[in-house]
Amino acid sequence: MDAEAERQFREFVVARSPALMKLAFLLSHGDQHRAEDLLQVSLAKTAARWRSVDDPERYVRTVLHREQISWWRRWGRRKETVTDTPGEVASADRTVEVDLRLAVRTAMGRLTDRQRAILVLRYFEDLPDNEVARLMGCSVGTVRSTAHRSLAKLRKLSPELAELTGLSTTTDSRR
Amino acid sequence: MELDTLVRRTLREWADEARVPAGLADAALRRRRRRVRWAWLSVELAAAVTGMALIAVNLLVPHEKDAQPGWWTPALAQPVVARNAAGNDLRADLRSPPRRLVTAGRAALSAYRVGPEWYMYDPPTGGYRLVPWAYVNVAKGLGRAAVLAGPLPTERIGIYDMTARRMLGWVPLSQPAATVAWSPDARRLLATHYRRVESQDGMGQGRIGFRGGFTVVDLVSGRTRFRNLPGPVASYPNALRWSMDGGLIWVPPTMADESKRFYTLDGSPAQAPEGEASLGEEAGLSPDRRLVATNHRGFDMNGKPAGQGPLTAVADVRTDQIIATQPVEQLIAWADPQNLVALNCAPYCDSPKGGEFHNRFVLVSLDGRSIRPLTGFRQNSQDPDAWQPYFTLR
Repeated sequence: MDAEAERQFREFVVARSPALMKLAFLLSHGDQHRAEDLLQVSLAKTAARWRSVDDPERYVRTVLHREQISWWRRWGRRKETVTDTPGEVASADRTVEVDLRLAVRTAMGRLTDRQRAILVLRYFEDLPDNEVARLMGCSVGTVRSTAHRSLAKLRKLSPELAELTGLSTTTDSRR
Repeated sequence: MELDTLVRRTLREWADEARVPAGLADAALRRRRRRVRWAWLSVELAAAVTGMALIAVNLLVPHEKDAQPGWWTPALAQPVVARNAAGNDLRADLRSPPRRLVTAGRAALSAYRVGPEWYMYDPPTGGYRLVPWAYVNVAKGLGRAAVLAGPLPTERIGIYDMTARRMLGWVPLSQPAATVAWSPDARRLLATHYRRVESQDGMGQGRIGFRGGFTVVDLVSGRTRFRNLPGPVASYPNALRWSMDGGLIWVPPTMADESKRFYTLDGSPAQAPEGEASLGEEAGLSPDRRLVATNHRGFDMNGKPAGQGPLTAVADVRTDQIIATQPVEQLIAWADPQNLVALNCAPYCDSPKGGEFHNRFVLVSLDGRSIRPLTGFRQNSQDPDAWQPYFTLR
């Protein structure tokens, strides 16, 4: 990487890192440390191919998803992972919706990495299903059925969520 | 409000809690340069004389103890073998999870975990039994288990005689540990330590923080040695493991460092034994060390055509040439030089309901032509409540 390319890369990181960090953070289920690792690795890979990348933002986002998926595919399933249960957040003057959002966060921790990634791509990134399918390396049908099952599971895991009405019409009509 | 709207709002609010670290561009560029340097250093290490003292990167804090401390008893020094688990026969139980001992050649399903609950092989009945510990590791021979009582991390390791169903003793540790692993010869233990993070509200139990180091316990002499080896948070699978002959230990790759790092039992960096640095399949080297199970190539996320199905391979260690492939998802353990325990999703691999995660354990021959089921199917192996197996040599 020459000096000019390095300058461009640094400018890109400064401009886009807040948005990219948010995505890495959600893909890491709120683990700041893991999110920083994930984003650093993805940026390092982007730097390595800086000259040939036309759309750096799209490239980093693609690498972020693939790194997250491939790393957990290879190592996350091995059994030495130590897990523990996050402590209960002390309740104070919460509004109903704040309670519901906390319930969503907790329940999302019980989803698989793939289920969570599909929800992030659909509802945070607002990507159409064919783009989600491309990133996840599966069919559009699998994206839709996984999203549907993931929402159903959230509802099942949290009694508060079970009382919500069904999905909005956009869920099943996305392309 | 609809649930998808709530999920959207939750994700946006949650994402705002992400902190952008300072110097991100510098860190990414440094990481890229470091990868190049590590590749160069690996070549240098390969040329170095085996056993030579290498660059010490960590501060070592030895806690040597003299032989036969107060906790030690002669019973701890004696390996126990479960006779009814011995042999090299094939025993399948197609229930999911299995209820009778599952074996294939030299490998046996010694325990499985369902969420936080552990089920361990029970020699008196020949089945599996729910045990009250938070972490379990069964020794070669399926006669003894090292156990950690919750909440993790904890400052002692229990040694349990599975054949007599009794606790043989407890080994005290100088630091809290969250995992423990038997050495291949079943005479030593490797405990991985993690910091304990107390809960903020004072009501919950402590949580597991960053990796701090490890302790090697020699059950024959009673000697324990603690070494610092800092690492990432426990949400990574970063517990230390033994090399194949028990002479070294290694740290699994992280996203930041995609290599297995080997260390001596003193915590100094060491060269990987031939074939053991492979990042391929969990089964690793064959019993004769001539072949290595390599990366699976199915379900590739990086541009391979979809729908070709799962595929693993076995390569020659010396030439790196693939000598055989198998139509399975993962190679878990070598049963004998011609057969491996594997994870297989067929016939559900292409099914939208479950796909690759709808799978069972099988015995696959090296040439992939023979596939014999060992267990029943798990409908979604990624579900936190799906049973997770642990295979041990018998």
